[in-house]
Order: sequence, then C-alpha cells, then structure tokens
Amino acid sequence: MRRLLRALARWLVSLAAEPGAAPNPVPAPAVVTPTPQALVAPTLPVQAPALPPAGPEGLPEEMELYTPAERGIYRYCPRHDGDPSCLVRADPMVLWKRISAVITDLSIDFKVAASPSKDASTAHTAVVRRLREIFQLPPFEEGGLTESQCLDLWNHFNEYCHAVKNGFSQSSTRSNSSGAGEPSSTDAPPTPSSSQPGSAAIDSSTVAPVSSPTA
Amino acid sequence: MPRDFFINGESLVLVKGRSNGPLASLQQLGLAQQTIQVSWQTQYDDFTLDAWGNVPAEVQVRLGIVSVSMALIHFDPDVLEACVRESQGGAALGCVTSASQRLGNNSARFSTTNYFIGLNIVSPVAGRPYRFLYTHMSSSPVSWPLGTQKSIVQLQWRAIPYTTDPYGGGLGATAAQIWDRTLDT
Repeated sequence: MRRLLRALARWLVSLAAEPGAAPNPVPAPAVVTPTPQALVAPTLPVQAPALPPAGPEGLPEEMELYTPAERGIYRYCPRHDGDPSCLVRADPMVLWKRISAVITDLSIDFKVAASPSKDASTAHTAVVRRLREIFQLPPFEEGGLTESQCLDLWNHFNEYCHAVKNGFSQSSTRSNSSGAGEPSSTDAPPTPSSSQPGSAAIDSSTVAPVSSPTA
Repeated sequence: MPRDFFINGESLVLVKGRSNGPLASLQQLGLAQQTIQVSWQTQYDDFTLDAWGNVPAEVQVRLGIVSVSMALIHFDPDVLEACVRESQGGAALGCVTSASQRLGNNSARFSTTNYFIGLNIVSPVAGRPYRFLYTHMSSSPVSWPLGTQKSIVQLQWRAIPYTTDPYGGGLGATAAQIWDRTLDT
C-alpha cells in the first residue's frame, strides 16, 4: 500500500511538472488522498520509472533542499493504539507566533487556573480554548484532544522549544534520513507514552538555525 | 523596630467589610503574581532641649501605620469597586462621600458603620497568611492593560492601628494590633 501511495505521489508530481500544468508544481502531501480508483490504476507503475525519483515529502529530488529532520516540523502523536497519524504536524515558528500573540493572556490564565481563586475553573477552560486555537485542534467530541492532552501538548511543545533553544542534539553529524521516505526515529519527538516530556530527540541540523523562540 | 517585608507571590487577596455592606462576606479580590510589599512607617517625635543643642535629647514613638502595595494580575472588578467605595466611607458609585466622614465611626470591626476593610492575604508559597485588621485604599487603583483582554491593577492599602478606645479607658494609649495571621471567615 505504501509503495502504491509513493508511486501515486510521483505520478502527481510529474503531472504538475509538465508544461501547461497547474501554476503550483508542488502539491502538498496531505492533499494526496488516494481514491480506490487511483489505487488500482494499472498504468501507474509503468509511468513511475520514467519520472525523477521523489523524496519523502513527495517532491522531486532536485527540489529537496532539506532533509525531513532539517525542516524541523513539530509533531505530536498522542495515540497509543498503533495509529501513526499525528494530531499536530505544524511549522513550529507558526505555532510560536500564535503563542506570542496571546502569551500574556495565556500566562495569566495559567496562573489563575493553578491558584485557589474562584475563577480557576474559568481560567482553566480559557487555557484549553487558547491552546486549541494555537494548535488548531477541534474539541475532543470532534476528534481532538482532551483537556488533559491539550495541557500535555503544551508541555510537549515547550520542551520542544527548550530543546531547540539549547541546541540539544543526539549527534553532531547530520541525519541520514534524506530520501528514506519514512520519518526516522530522530525526525519526530517521541510520543508521550514512550518518554517523558522534554526527551524529544531533535536533530542538530534542525535546531541550529532556529533562535526566535528564545526571544 | 519593625521592618519592611514581602509576602511571597502568588498570593490570593481577600477582603471583608461591614456587615451591611457589599463586603459583608469574605470576598476574593484577586491574585497577586509578584510579591506584596509591606512597609512599616513608624512615626517619631524628637524632644529637643536648648541645653542639648540641635540633636534630640529624647525620641518618642508616635505609633505608626503600614502600607501594603500589591499588583493584581487577576481581580474581581465588582469587589474592587466595593473596596473603593468603602474606602470613601461607603460613598455611592461615582460619588465622593460627605466631608468629615469617618471610616471607623468609633464602632467595632465589621459593625454597620465601620468602613474599614479587613485585608486578608493568602500566600501559598510561604504558607503564612496575613490579615490586616483595619485597612483602606490609600490611593486610587491604577490599571494597566496587558495584552488584549487582561489588565493588571496596582493597589495601595494603608493599615492603621485602629481602636475604639484610643485613651485606654483613661489610662493612656496601649499597643494596638495592625495585623495577625488569623484569616477572616
């Protein structure tokens, strides 16, 4: 199944790269939603060898300027039932900008929520609402995170930023995950079930150029 | 001599006033994130004698007051408004009280004509509460907006050694308590 999806991605890229194709030649991987008809298309494996090899993000290799680790996409995968999908997969700088826009209100709500104030419950609700806005998560009833998981996500992202700030890395060498097609163990932070917050393994090439979150 | 000290934050501030007023029951005023500064201002009179030059030959303690300064990051505006009104002798909203209005009215604490406010501070960090028995706001609250929705308000309180019998039954003034560690209920 994964091989078929990859072939389909290459085919779509080749279609987009043809002259007269759509102006945006780089389709986002999330848009690639295979239909049953596409999966059984017999011509796809035939066309694939003639196309330039695609990287793990569905881009031609000549457009692969960064490895998956170097792109530094923040991921949060709280599910423990074997489902590898991540509820949060975002550019950490975008998240940071959203946080910066409301950090004062958010920090006050955090403090009130942790206090014996009569408004602690209201502040806790406001904290969760703001976190869902920042990470663009639906409520739990609509497939999102529980309130507790939202707070865990917040801690996880803070630890992620802390690791970026401190330039934490497991190795001084670059990640060897380019062209692997699969996210390596160093690409994504570990899920909360497998590690403590703050143990996110972030490649050094990812964290080196990012300094704004420390501001 | 008492010294200035700080009450560790984050502290929850509660107030209680006269029994027929808006603060009849203990009300949460707000949450102070930073430390609350408590400043003692002991008053002294110097005895100067011609025979002793320009330096005091003796010093007399003239009691003192306590100033309490706090910045609340979260507060109840209704309770704050009630504190402002009570500090003016129970003035109506938007009004000043009548001239010569007294706050204590020679009445007991929490009686219907005693406008002093009991200022209770709960500091979970140090775990040592403070209750200033007779206080009023010594200046208007100053509010700064923070972010888009929140604001921080700076409050100045003054606690005095109030008593209904300052003459001690004709025996002279005695010591008066300004604060203790028993919270109002």
